[in-house]
Amino acid sequence: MARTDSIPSVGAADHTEGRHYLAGPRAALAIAGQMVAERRRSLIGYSIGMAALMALMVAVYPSIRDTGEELDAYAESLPEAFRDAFGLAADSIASPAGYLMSQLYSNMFPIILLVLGIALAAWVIAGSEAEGTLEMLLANPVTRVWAAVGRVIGMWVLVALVTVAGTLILALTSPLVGLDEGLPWWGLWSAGVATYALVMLQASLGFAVGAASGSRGMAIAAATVFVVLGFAAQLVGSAAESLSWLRDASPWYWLLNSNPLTEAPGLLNTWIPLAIALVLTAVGIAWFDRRDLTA
Amino acid sequence: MAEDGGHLAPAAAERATVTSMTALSMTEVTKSYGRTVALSDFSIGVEPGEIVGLLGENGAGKTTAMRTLLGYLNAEQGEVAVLGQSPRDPATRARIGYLPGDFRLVSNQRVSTVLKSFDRLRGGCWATETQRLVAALELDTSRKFGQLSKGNRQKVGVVAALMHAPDVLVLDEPTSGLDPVAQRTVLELVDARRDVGAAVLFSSHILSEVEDIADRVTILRKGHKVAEGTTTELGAAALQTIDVVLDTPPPADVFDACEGVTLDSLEGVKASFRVAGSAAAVMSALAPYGIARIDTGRHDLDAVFYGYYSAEGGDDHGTN
Repeated sequence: MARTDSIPSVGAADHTEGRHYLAGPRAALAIAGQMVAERRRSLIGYSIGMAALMALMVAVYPSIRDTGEELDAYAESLPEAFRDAFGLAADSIASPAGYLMSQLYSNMFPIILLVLGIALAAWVIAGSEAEGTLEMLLANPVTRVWAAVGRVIGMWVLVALVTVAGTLILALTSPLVGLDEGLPWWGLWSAGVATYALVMLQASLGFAVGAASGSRGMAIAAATVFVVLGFAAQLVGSAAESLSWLRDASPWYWLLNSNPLTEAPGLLNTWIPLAIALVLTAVGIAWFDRRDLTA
Repeated sequence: MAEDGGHLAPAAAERATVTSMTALSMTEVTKSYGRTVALSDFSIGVEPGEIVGLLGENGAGKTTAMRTLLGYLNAEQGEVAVLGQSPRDPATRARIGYLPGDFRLVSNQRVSTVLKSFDRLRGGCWATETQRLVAALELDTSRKFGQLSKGNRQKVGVVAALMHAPDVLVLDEPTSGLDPVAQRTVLELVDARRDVGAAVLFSSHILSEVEDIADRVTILRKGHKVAEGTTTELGAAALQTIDVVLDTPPPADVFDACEGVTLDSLEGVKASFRVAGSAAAVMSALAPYGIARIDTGRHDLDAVFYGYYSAEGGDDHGTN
């Protein structure tokens, strides 16, 4: 096999001393930065939407707190499976922890982040491949692995920024109505990290399927099915003791069974989901590196 | 080697041995999509300072050949090398310019932003060359890619492919969608790269432009290479179409004795036939009937191409 250096470069005269290009990790960071920059407007829009949600949650809390006994009585009448599924098992809904877990961290917050996370996960390889832009990215001196790593970093950063934006608004406004009472100062950030871990786990499955198949539709379908099955497994597992293993295997249960508002990010609600997400990402990238690029 | 965290592809100063080895090569490559064989035992080579045109109808395998050559597709068998290395090696990639047949970028990005991002990945030292190309193609880089016409999008693709003064160019229909002036400019830019030693492989449906700038031509049909050579060589090897008007009608079997002749029509004194190789024998056979007029078909690339793409032509001509 011939060596590259046996064929002379015919670059422009002022560049014949050699061709510079960004090394793998630096190329990945450049690609991630480009991806974030491309989405700065949607990022701002998403963050504003998330801030509005948080402001609404804070604004509504006083009325919930004032009708706490009636709501608690209603919650008590619900099946245990429902109380588990919506974060009502541990605390009164009138308490800050109970209100935030049942009204925010068990549904709205992760769902909004999931919509963003899954959309990005489906785009970074499969969506970009289908629209034809990935082919041009790979025409640059960067390996598929580092290109994919760059796109994944971009995805993780974008979801993290929206998570931070929401959590920041909540942290700033919750003291106004006493929504921070009984919570450590870092409680909202701990819950934000755990929610982020849940979202990235499920988005990473979408990424892996998209990277392996090149199909945006399959990526979205896989991640969505994973979300629904995970939520359903928690419900079913809580309702039937014989199926409690289903509940134990649900990432949603990992989040809601812990109390991330009062406990630091733990193994089950943060680190294991993140570790699985990284494994899924690695598998997806490895598969992407070996397969044909679709037309 | 590394500088400012970047990598450096082998420098010209380090390349003591200058050879004319093949810059682009595919050797006996086969590639299928399911049961459909897109390329079969396909081989091609492009030398430094050479332009090779790849011709074929839609679905003939041109794009598959280019994408396999660049490592986007994995060959089932055979070998692929660019500058003697794997095309997926970043050091090799840094020396390749590629324009896909369907060039696309993120539509809400300004062209200048995208070109800067490519420049950055390619070492951040190609702003001057990029500006030169942008000026040559009269491209407005302040506009968003999605707002550009098809022709202007294609110009962006040409700039992206050429901006780093690549040693190897792989261009899939580079003049598609361009007006005649821009087509001419692009061909001149490609020609200029060839003149400084770049190896160029390009496909086109415009046979005249291939004829104008290609040093050699390869014709693909249903994944098989059916012909390869200079335009002159291909013309000589192709079937020659001849129409004759005779003084008296000849019998139909007069052509049977002539080897390499395919009779297309015989109506009274008018005969139309194709000849492979020399026409001397058939002319001698027809001479007794008085040859009043002879029309021979053209032997430019159009004639050659359509010769191979006629049903008989494609089957009669094995891989050259």
